[in-house]
Amino acid sequence: MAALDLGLIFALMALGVYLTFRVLDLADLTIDGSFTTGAAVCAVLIINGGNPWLATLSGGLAGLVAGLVTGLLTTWGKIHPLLAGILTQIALYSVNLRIMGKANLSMLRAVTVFTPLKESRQIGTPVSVGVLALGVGLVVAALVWFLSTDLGLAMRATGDNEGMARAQGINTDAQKILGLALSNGLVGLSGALFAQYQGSSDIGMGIGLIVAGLASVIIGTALIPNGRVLVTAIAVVTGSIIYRSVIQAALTIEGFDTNDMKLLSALIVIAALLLPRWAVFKQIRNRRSKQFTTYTWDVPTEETVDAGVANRPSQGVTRRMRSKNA
Amino acid sequence: MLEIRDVSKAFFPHTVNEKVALRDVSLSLEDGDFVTIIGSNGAGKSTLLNVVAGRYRPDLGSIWINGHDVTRLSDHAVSRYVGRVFQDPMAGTAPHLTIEENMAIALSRTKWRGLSLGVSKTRREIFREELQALELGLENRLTAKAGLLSGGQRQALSLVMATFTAPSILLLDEHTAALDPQRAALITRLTKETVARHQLTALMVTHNMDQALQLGNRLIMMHEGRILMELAGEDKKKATVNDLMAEFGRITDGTGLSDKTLLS
Repeated sequence: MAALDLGLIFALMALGVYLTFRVLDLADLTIDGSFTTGAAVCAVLIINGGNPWLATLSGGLAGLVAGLVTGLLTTWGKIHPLLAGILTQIALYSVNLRIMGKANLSMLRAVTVFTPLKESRQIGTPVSVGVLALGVGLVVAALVWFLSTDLGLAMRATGDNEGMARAQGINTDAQKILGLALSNGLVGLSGALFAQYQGSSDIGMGIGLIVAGLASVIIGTALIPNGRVLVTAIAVVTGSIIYRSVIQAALTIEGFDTNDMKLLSALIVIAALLLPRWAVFKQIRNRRSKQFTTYTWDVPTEETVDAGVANRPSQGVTRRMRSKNA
Repeated sequence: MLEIRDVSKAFFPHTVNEKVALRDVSLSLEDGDFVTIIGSNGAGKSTLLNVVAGRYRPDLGSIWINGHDVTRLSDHAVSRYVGRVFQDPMAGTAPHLTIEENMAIALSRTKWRGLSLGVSKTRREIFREELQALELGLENRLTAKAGLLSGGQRQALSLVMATFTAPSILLLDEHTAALDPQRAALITRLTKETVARHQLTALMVTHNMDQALQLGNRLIMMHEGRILMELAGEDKKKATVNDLMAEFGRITDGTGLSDKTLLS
């Protein structure tokens, strides 16, 4: 149950990664820093007696600003997105220390958004999972709605075919800045919630987080491969939960402790990237989708496709067919 | 209305690789003009289109569209006035977006993109109507990914996307060159119909002389960054491919004739 809680909290971060990595097609490393920034801002406000909800929101806003900086570096500064992200992330390390004043802030006695759940001993129960699922569900709904608006479509086009986007009058630089800001806003929000959940904010809590984010996106989309935004967003949330569960399960194995977590996360991502390419798994997938297999004589010719009489087979089908012939 | 005034453009200036793509090119299109541009490789045809579209900034001269100076605008800002279809069928559409989403993006080309729904019911009707004119059955596949379409279908979709919002200028950059003859003929026919239906002002680059004669009311021939000759009205209607070849050979002293690409 704790894994579910964490999976849902980190799902917000994974959705942020989805926004940059899949929608905008940028690898953004800012999130290692902006996660901690969100946590730090939230922790400082809460310790000073601020409203926990406002503090959480402020954490998200702080992440948003961090994303804005990376966005400006990549577009105005024309710095490679990877490098821009790394630069912001490194700068944020010092900024985060400044915000917190020391490397670790404890909020154990302060009132957080989880205090009502904690006092009624509902943390780690279906109740807390339900509450978090509801919150994440709202974010998913908002994100999916946004990506279907004129503005959201412009953002998707920017990541999908930048030349086309510009030819259709889309300011792709502005879209990238907006996307990076929104993404890091979600990451900051996730950091603020995680800090409150574990009762402290730590300067190192964001290190390697991009790996967890990528793992969630890759695992989710590998298990539920579907191009629709709604399905993909749900898949990413699912991926985040699976990732946390695998980590939790691995930590119970004799000989592993929390210090091995980063190694484990790297291994999980490598596995998620490599396994789908291995023949054994390909065969399993082929068998599972046998009902969709087409044979050579089913494939319409170019002429019939162009005339609109027949539909082109989906790429998946063609690829499977090719491997069959080979 | 488009006015190109004394535009020059050089690539890699002041280096050994300097390549002057446009030399003092002036051209003016009245509303409803459809100009086809032919010429050998490196004649500056595509550069001219890219300068108009704002992709390249001219070194000298200026570009005016509907009385607005667009010389210094970036390409996405020029797109407010200009619809484009590229040579690569993959270039004009977003493959992972559905047909209707692609159309929605094109619909908002001249508008502020806000938080209203991209594909609404009323918009879907507009898209369906526009796609029906193609007679390719695309109107029944609105929710299919654009990446699943064939090259010809994607180019037809690109054409609709570039035209149905009635741009001030339509730029066609060898948009049938990457297709096989059958589908090239289809796109040529659709181009003719679409331009007539929306009464567009268009500038088309082509390597295909037949196509250059078949489409449009004016034809210009470019060579080494200059406009060498222009045919309009009756002269263009009467001209044949052989006439063009002979004229091109005469003007360039035969140096251009060896260029295989000119023989469509």
